[in-house]
Amino acid sequence: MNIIVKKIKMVISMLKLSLEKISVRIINNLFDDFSKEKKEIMVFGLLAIFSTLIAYSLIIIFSSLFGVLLFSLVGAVSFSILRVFSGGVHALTFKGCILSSVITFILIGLKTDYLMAFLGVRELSILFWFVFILASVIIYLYVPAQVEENLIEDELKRSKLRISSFLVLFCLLSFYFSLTLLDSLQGVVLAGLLGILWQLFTLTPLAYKLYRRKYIRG
Amino acid sequence: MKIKKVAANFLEKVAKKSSDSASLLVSYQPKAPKALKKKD
Repeated sequence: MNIIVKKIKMVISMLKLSLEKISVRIINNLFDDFSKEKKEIMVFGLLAIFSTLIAYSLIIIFSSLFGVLLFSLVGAVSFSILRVFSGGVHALTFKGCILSSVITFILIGLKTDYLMAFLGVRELSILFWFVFILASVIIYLYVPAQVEENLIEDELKRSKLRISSFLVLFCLLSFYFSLTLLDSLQGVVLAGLLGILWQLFTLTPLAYKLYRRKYIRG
Repeated sequence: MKIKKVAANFLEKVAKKSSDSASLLVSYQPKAPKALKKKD
């Protein structure tokens, strides 16, 4: 088991190195007439796209193997939508990013699959209120959650992100609430709510501790 | 040439968003290039 984990970690490290090299090569070839500074920015953007695509692909592959593709994907998408505005803790390494994302969303898929049998409209309504109240408090206290590499120093920008997070949360919850009217989609609703809850957790100082990152107040 | 400009703008926007700590997953985030900070 240890050997398999070591091998997986090695493959992910190699993947990161090659991703950086590939990004630099693509940008240098396609945008050779751009300034060095601009090219650096584009490499950074391309790396962000590549790492997201790889993590999502792995979530799709592994959650399919566990038979919970829909739930894992719904959880991941809810998480991602809120995260764009609220920020949150980042993994220290590329390996950490891939592993924590894949494991978390498979667990959300499996948990949803298990809990679905016990859920009725009443339980879901209670969960809705719980998520709404908790999210409001956490967004007010911790958004935008930042990492020390890339701080947001502009106060106006921080307020805008806080307001946007509230609006996105409201839209997401309204969307899922409308889905509760359809009996067959209760699992989707639960997966979405669990995705939101996980994103809320990544905003808190406790998550920063878990990921061994320095907490920076938003 | 136009496509190249659109692609460059798109990548810059993604980089900008990403440097605001916003990313779609608990992703690894390298330090944003200094040039990006200057643009602020």
